[in-house]
Amino acid sequence: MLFNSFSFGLFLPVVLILYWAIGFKRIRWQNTLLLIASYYFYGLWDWRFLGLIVASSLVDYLVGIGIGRSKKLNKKKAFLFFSIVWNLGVLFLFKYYNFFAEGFANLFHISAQGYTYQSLNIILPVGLSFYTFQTMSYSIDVYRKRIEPTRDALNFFCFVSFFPQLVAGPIERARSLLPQFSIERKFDMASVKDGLRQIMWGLFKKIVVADNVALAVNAYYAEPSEHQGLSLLYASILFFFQIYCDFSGYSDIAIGTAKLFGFKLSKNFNIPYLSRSVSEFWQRWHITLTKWFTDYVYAPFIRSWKRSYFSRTVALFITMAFIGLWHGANWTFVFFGVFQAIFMSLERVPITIKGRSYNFNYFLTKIPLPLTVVYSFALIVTSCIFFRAETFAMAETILSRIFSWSDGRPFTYEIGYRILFVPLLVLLEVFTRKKNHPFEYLEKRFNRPTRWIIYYIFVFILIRYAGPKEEFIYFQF
Amino acid sequence: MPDQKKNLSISNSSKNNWRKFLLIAVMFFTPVIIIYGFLEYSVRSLPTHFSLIKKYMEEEGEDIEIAVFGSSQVQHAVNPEYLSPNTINLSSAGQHHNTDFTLLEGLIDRFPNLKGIVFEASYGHFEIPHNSKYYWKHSVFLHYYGVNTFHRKTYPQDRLLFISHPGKFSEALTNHFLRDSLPDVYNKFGFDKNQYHGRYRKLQYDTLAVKKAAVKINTRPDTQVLAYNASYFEDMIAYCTAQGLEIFIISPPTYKTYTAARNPDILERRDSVLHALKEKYESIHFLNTEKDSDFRLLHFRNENHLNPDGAEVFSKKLDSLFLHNEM
Repeated sequence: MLFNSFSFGLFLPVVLILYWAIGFKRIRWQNTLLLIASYYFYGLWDWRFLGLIVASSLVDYLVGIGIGRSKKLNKKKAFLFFSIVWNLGVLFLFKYYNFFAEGFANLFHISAQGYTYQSLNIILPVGLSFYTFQTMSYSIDVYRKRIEPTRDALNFFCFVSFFPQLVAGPIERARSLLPQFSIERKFDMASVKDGLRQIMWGLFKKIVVADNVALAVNAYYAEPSEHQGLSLLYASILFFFQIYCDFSGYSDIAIGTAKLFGFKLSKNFNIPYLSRSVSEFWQRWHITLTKWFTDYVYAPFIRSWKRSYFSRTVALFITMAFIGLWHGANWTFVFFGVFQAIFMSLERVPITIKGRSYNFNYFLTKIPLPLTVVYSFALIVTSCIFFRAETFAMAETILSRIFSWSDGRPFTYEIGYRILFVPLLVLLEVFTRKKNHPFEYLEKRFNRPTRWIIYYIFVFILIRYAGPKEEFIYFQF
Repeated sequence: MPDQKKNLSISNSSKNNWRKFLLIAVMFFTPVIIIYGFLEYSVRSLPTHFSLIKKYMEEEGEDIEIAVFGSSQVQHAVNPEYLSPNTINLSSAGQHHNTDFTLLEGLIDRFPNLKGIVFEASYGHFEIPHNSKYYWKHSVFLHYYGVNTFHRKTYPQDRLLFISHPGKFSEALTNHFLRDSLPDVYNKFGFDKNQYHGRYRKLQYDTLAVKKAAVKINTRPDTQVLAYNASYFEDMIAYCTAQGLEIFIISPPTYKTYTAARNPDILERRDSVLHALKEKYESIHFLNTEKDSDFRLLHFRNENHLNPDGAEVFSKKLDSLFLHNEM
C-alpha cells in the first residue's frame, strides 16, 4: 500500500478511528491493533514476505533476551553473531546474492572455465533494508548495554513493523521508538494537527514535485546520447530534487502519520541542498541512515584503529561504499558512495596554520553560503548521476555530454510550467528552514480561516497537479 | 489520590480533544470529498471517444465484424462510417501492440460475429518500446471497456477516472464547459468529426510554412526492441489466425516531410518483419498508404495524423480492401 494511494486514504482513517476509539488507557489493545494494521499494510504488497518480517522480529526478540540472560561474554557474542548472520544473511540472499555471484564469476572467469553460477530469481521484499537494520541495531544495542532487552513480544513486534516507517524509514533505534509502545499515548490535538500538516507537505513533495519532475528525468535519461549537455544537466539537477522529494516526502508522511497515533519518529531530512559541504550533506540527508552507519560501521573501525587521518579516511571510504551498496546491488551505487567519500576526505584534510589545526570544512564555513552551496550541490548532483544511471557506460555518456556541452535534440522543460513547483518548494523550505516543515509556520502566523484557505489551495494543487503515480524510489532499497 | 485525579483529567481532555478533532476533520474533508465526487461525476458524463465506443459496443457488439486497433494515427484515420462491414475502432493515442492485444483478448467474446482484425504497423512501430506514457488509460479501459490493462490485480480506485490523470481531465472539463473553439463532434462510432485542430491548421495549411516546420519523428534504431516487438506481434497474428480471423495490417499515410525524414534502416527492418509474417500467415492483408499521393496537405492535421477529410479518403481505401477480401 502506497502512502500516495487511495487505499491508504481509506486505511489510515479507519485504523486511526479504531485506535483512539479503543480507549486511551488500553495500550495493549492499541498495540495489537497497530500490529494487525501494520501486517495488513505490509501484506498487501506480498503476503508471503510477512513470514520473513515475523521471523526477523522473532530472531532479534529472542537474541535480545538471550544476550540479557547470558552471564558469559562469549555467549553474548554468540547470540549477537547469530543476529548479525541472520539479518545480513537475509539481506544477502534477497538483495545481494546475484550481484556478488555475478561479480565473483566475472572476477574468476568461472563461466570461461566451463562452470556457471546459479542466479536466483527472487523479488526483493519491500523495505527489507530498513527493517533488518532496525532489528539488527536492537541486538547490537542490547549487547553494548545501551538498552535493556525487552520481554514484551507484542511491543517488540510493533517496533519492527510499525507501519508508518516500516517500508522506507526513518530507521528508528530501539531506545527511541520501543519505549513509546510501553507508555500511555494521549491524544494531543496540537501534535495531531501538525501530523496532518506534515502529511500534506509530504504528499505535496511526492505527488506534485517528485512525480512531475520524474517525467522530465525519465524522458532525458531514456536516451541520453540523443540529448544535449544542457538537457542532461537539467535532468540531473531535477533528479536530485526527484529523489529528495520522493524520499523526504515519504519521511514526512511517515513522521506525520506516527504523530496521529501519538508517536514521535526521528527527523530524516534537513534541507540537504543548503549544505556547505559533502560532509554536511550527509548530516542533512537520510539522517537516520547516516547515524546508523556512523554508530555501527564507522565508529567501530575508528575505535579499533589508530585515530590518524589515514585510518579515519579508510574507515570513511569503507562506510561510504557500504552506504552506496545499501542503496542497491550495483557498482554504480557503490561508486555513488565512494565518489562522495573522496570529497569528504578532502574536506577533512588537516591543515596547520600558526600551530592551530584546521581542515577544509572550517574554511568552507568562512565562504559566503551561496558559493559553498554551489560547490556541494554540484558534487552531489554529479554523484546522483551514478545513482540514477543503470550502468557506468550510461553515467559516462551523461557526464561527457554535460562537460563537453554536446549538441543534441533541442532543450525543452518537458513538464512545462510544472517546473515552477521546484523553486516554489525551495522558497517555502528555505523561508521556513527553522521549522520541521513549512506548514508548521502557519499555526502561529494565521488564524483558522486563513489557514484553511491555504490548506484547501494545497489540496487543490495535490489533486489538480498530481504527476503520474510513481512508486517511492526508496522502496526498492 | 491527586495523581489519579490528574490522570483522569488527562484522559478526559484526550477524549474531548479526540471528539473535537473528529468534528474538525469531518468539516474540513467533507467539501473535499463532495468536490471530488462532483469532478468524477462530471468526467464520467463527458461525451468522449471512449464513452461513445462503450455505448456502440453495448448496442451493436453482436453485429461487429471488424475490430480496429492502433495508435492515434489509426484512431484518426479510420472512420467506421465509411466502412461496409460493421466496424469498431478501438485505437487511441499512444496505444501499442501490447494494449491492442490485451484489449482484443478481453473483448473478443463480446463480438461473436467478428471476422477480421486491423492492426497498425506504422513506420517506427516495431522499434518503439511497449511502455506507454499514457498510464491513465488503464483506468479508462477498465471503466469503459471492462478490460484490465494494468496487468495486475485491480482495486476500486483503479476505476476512478479523474484521479487517474487530474491534469488531463481538468483540461477536458474546462474545454467542454468553458473554452473549446472547436468542440468535439462524435459520430456513433466514437470518431471525432471535428478533429481539425493541429499544427497544420495553425500554419494555415501554408505549404512553405509546413515544409519549414520541424518534424517530430523517431529515427533512433533499437534492434533489441524490434526483436521483442516483432515476436510479440507474431504472437498476436498467431492468436488471430487460431481464432479464424482475417488480419489487415495498415500503415496510415504521412505527409511528405515526415516520409522523407524516416530512417531507411528502421523502415527496411519493419518491412522485412511484415514480409516474413506474410510468408508464414495467409490470412494477412496489407494496406500501406505511407507514400500514397492521393493524400494532400489538406488531409492532414500534422505530419503523421490525418484530419476527418483525410480519414474519409483512407477509410474508403480500407473499405475497398475489405470488399476485395469479401468481408
